[in-house]
Parts: sequence; C-alpha cells; structure tokens
Amino acid sequence: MKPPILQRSIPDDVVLNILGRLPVKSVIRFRCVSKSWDSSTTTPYFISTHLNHNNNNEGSHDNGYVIHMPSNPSFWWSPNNRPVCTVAFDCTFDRISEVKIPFDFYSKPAQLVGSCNGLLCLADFGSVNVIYLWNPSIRKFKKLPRTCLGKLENVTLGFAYHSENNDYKVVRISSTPSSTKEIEVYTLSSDSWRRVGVELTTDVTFGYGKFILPVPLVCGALHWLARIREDGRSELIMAFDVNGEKFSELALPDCLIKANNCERFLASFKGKLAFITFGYNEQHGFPSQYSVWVMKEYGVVDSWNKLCVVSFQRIAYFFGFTEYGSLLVFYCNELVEGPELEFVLVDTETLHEKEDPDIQHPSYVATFMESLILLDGANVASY
Amino acid sequence: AIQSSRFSCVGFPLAYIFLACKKKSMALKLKSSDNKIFEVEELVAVQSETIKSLVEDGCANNVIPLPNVDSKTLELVLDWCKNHVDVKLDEEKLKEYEDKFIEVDLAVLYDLLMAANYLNIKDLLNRASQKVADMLKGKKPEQIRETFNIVNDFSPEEEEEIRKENLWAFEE
Repeated sequence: MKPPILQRSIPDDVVLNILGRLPVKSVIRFRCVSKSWDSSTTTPYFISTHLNHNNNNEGSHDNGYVIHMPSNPSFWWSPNNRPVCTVAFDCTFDRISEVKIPFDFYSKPAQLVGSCNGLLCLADFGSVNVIYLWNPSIRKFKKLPRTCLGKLENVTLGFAYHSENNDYKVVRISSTPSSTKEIEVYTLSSDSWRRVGVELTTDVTFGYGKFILPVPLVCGALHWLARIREDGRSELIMAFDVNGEKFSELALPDCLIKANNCERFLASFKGKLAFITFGYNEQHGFPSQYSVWVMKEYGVVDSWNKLCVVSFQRIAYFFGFTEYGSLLVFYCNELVEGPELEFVLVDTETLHEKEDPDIQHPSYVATFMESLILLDGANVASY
Repeated sequence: AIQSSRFSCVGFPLAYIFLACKKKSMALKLKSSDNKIFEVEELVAVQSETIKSLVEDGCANNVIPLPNVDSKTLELVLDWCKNHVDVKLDEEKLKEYEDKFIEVDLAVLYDLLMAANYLNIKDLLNRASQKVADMLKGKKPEQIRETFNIVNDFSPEEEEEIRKENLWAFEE
C-alpha cells in the first residue's frame, strides 16, 4: 500500500495559504475533504485572502477579464428572458466562456449595474424593481429584499465594494415627484436596505442619457455625471463615498463643463476616473470622434488629462470602455434586408482598431474575475 | 586629552569602516537537525525572519540550532536565500531561477514548505504554497485526503449534500 506522501501534518495557516491559491472550482470541490476544510474555506477571512491572491496573480494590467451581456432584450435569444453573458479577455475580447443568467427577468430591459471582485449586480427595471447579486464562478446568487422606499422616479443604481468593511453595497438614488433625492443603501453583510439622509448642496439631476454604463467605482467612491438643474446645461460629477456615505462634487475638465451636443460617460481606467465624450466633427472627414480624459490625481481638477482622441470615418456608436482601456463601438450599416451591426474594439493606448472582435451585440461590459464572494452569505441560492 | 582628540578626529570614518566590514563578513553558523553546520553570511540568513530576530536580540553569536530543518532542506533554503539577497537582480533571471528551484517532487516541496514556515521566509513560503496549489488543483477530494493524510469526518449524507449543492465543481 502506498503511504500518504505527507506523513506529518501541516499547520492550519500553511494549509489555508495553499487553499487560498487554488482556482474557485477546486476550493468548492475540496470543501468535502473534511469538516475543517469546509468550515475554514467558507469564512469571510478565507474568502478575502483568496481574493487577494487572485488579485495579485491576475490583476496585472494586461490580462484582466471582462464579462459582457447584451443590453437589448431582443438579442437575448432566449425564451425565458435569461440573457447569456460572455467572459472574455479585456484587451482582445477573445471569448473564454459563456455563462447563463440563472434567474428570470420579469420585464425588459435588465441592466448590469456593476461588477466588483467577481460579484455582479443586475437589475430588472420594470413594473417591479428586482435587484440580484450573482457570482457566476461559484454559481450562487441572491435576490435582494425590496427597497424601503418603494417606487420612485428616475432610479439610478450603483454597486460598490466597501473595502473598509470588506462588504458590498448597492446604492439607489431616486427622486420624488418634487425632485427631492432619496438615497438608500443596501449592505450585503446585513442583507438589508436603509435610507441615508444626504443633503445635496447643489440641485442636480442624476442618471440621464440613453445608454447607462456601470457606475464607476474609483478611490472608494461611486461616480455619477449630474446636471445642475438651475441652468440645465452645466454638468459635474457627484462622487458618493462608499465608506462615509456622503456626496462630494468633482468638476469636469474646464472646457467641458457646459454640456454640448456630445454624449458623455464616466468610466474607470486602470483605477482612475475617466471621462469619455463623443461628438460629431463632420468637417474633417471623421464623423465620429471620441475623447478620453483621465483624472490623473484623484480629486484634483487640474489633473484632468486628455488621454486620446479616437476618430472614426463612419458614425460609431459607443457602448463600452474597459478598465484596461478598450473602447467598444459599433457601426450600423443600413442594408436592404435590415440594419447590420459591425463592431470595433479600439485599444486606446496604441489606437489599434480590432475589426470584428468576438462580440455580437451592443452590451453591458464590466470587469470580471473569479472569486468566492457570496460563499459565506445568508439567503443565497445555488444552481 | 591627545588620545581622545585623535580618536574623535578619525572616529567617524573608523566606525563607518568597522560597520561596513561587520556587515559584509559577519557569518552566522546554522545547525541542521542532523547536526550539520552551515556557515552563511548574515545578509543571506536574515531573510529568515526567525533568524533575523535572533540576530537582533543578540542570540546569534554561537551556533544557531534549527531542529526542524534537515541538512538537505537547509541547503536548498540557503540557496534560495543567496539568490534573493540582491533585490535588484534581473527579474526575468530570478523568475527562471525560482521556476527551476521549485520543480521538485511533493515530498521535497513539503520539506521546503515546512522549513519556509518555520524560518519565516515569506517569498519562499508563498512560492512553495503556490506550487503545491498548482499540483493539487485538478485532484479529487479522495486524492487530497490521501495526500495530506486527512480523515474524512463527514457522514456520507453530509458529504453528499455538499456535492449535490455544487455538482458543477465535481465535473471534469
């Protein structure tokens, strides 16, 4: 009989150091090795240790992952309204795997609110507001309880990792008919919503625009573009500090405070706040022009720096900007048999344009990684 | 008075040279569990946090006994430390060295892991742990129990419940 290779026992912390470096699938499988392995791999401490190892190994700037989900329900190709998400490499959008959403959306459209540490937040904005947290890599999800304020207008959502408490928060901003802002915060650890009394010094409108990108989490704050109601044209950035639960205001680059005909978006780029504008510029033979600005030093308005300008010879519609600087657009070709979409991926650092990347629909795009988040949670469904 | 003024005159450079020499040539003697003595430069040895604190506490003047590390393993560990003294070393070369170093069977890896843990050498411990993880990741729970000599303390029903909840993780 072959003796066990390791006769002596290994100290628990060394075992945990090893387990923390395993892919999530192995960790889940090894839960049934013994009771102590099961209990020690499902603690919040282990889950965050595992996350840190993953971040150190895979978080280098050229091999991040994204997940994308068609943003238009007619592209879901699924009878039960369960869109298929695709996990891909950030830089190339080469497909790694596909994951089906494990819950039904009751109404259209559904939205990818955000993604933190492999945990996704999805919302179904219909007759009922339903919000889900979902970790596709361990096949677990949870439906959030109803919000405490019920149905209000102009709802906008943000999803954030609260690093100080190793917790996750969903922030919901809505307006009463008299345009008073109501802010509610859901925390995963307590699995409940609570109203946050926030006094805004400026009267602003949140969350407008045709297309909604995931609200960027940069330096511990969620960032919304907001329009000052008084003059209706000036814009600023409202930053919600996830830890302190307070808003602060950040100014846009000087030349762009007044909204013009440009479409404008906020995103996160390599951990920094990015501001993307899209405008038409017909004179130079490039009808579409995107500018990407980056706030080099967080909170310092003078540090807004124009990273690049990307011009297209046809009208290009924007739908995504990733952490590693991939800009996603599509052209719409009017053919006899109907419109045909053509996708282009631009690397904003080299300005290299990749034709025909592996993406077929306008989509929500968010960063992605494997993690064990939700493994220790209450009221979590497995599938 | 003459003596002291002469001393103060050259005091600084003398002390400096003395310190520099001390730093460079100071050797420590380590004794493995099988009673072999290894003479190593302090700079090499203090990558072990355990040895470093002995040195700092002034307990490193005689032979330092390491009853938990045999000579075969200690030789490997000291080789690792020698190659990690110069932090400015070419990153690519260092990676090449580490990859080759860690290409050992599980039994040796286990000894390295235990030694790195006992001597508290973070980078070696992490590298060895990563290597063990890479070797284990495709294995079945039964194989893990056998490898680590772990007794399955689940009842069949309890084990079945975990498996059923996570069927996908047990697929090839």
